[in-house]
Amino acid sequence: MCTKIKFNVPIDDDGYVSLQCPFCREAFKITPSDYEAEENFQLYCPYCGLVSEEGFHTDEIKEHAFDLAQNHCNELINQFMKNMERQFKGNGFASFEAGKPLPIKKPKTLIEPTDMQEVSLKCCKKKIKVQYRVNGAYCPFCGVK
Amino acid sequence: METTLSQKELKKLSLNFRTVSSRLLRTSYIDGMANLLRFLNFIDETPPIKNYIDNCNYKFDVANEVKECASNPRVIYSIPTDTREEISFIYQILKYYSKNYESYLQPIPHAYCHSSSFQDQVDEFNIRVVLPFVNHINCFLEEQYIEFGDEALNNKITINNDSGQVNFAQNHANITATQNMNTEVIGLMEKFITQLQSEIFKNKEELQELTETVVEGIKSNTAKKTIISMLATKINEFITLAGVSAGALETAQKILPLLERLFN
Repeated sequence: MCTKIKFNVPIDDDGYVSLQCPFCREAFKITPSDYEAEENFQLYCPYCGLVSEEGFHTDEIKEHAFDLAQNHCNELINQFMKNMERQFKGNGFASFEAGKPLPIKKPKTLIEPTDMQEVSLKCCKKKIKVQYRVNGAYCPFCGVK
Repeated sequence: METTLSQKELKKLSLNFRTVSSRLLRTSYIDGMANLLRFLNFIDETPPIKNYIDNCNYKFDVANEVKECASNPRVIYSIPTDTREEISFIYQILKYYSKNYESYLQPIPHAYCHSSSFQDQVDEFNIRVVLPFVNHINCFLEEQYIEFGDEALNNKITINNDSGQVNFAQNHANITATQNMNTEVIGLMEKFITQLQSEIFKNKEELQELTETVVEGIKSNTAKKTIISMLATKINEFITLAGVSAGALETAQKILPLLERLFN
């Protein structure tokens, strides 16, 4: 049994969403349509140039997802405990008390500030945003500078 | 050894290196050794990168380092702080792994990650040891690319190192390589050996044999600096001798500055 929890990731005023390199941990931005395009099954980091098929979610998004998953588990456990308490009510041989429910944490609100510098990529005719330009940036789609 | 690369080829080299490095950096612990071999084979078969690493030229007792870390779960590798030493050290460690172990996970020191997960141990080792090495090589390739910008008008860039010369050319421009100094010095020394045969002086055979040894060394790229230095000393002594032929003297005088450049 697999439960999917969906949540929305905001974009900035220019229509970009933040990503984070799993190797150098630097942040950059691309458009959601580019991120979801089938042909872009792997991305190159614009700063270090290394490539990965996954792992480009930012720390904030990972933390948000973990909090949502944790909350969902805690709700299931809390509900299970309440059901157990109800089931054993009035039973002369054994009793069950649920105790203090597990906490449901409010996840931090995801915010996407409009920052970074827009860069046009001549090779793939796309645009990205990077934090700084030091001798150019690697194209996240073809890996060439 | 001489390699000529155009700007496009340098870009391709950088792209391929980053691809094979990424594969090792995010490897599963099961595929680790296969990806390590791919990584090391790529480096060994790419002269500009191999020469750069060989030029760092420091020797470490990696067998002892690996053994020490294996026997003590709190110890990590003593990676040097100097860039060139760091490059040499990590390369030698990875080479040692590839030759002595079947599994990538097996020799990794436990001190790098206290998680019991095999994958976490491999990931942490890759981030702390392999990634700095990859970054140094990337930085080297970037520097060559920056050099292209400065040399754009001349459409060429030359990198000299002890073990050979790598030339980068922009847009398939022709290279006039100064590395042909090797060909020139070999030609002169072979001529000098022939000229010595008709000379008569003390220690003639010693000078002939030393010259032949250096010629062979240059041809096979294994010439040692101490031997080149000895030959330069002997040729200096030959030049001061009285009664030697003008031809041999002239050849000796031409060889000497070329030997000094090789030595330096």
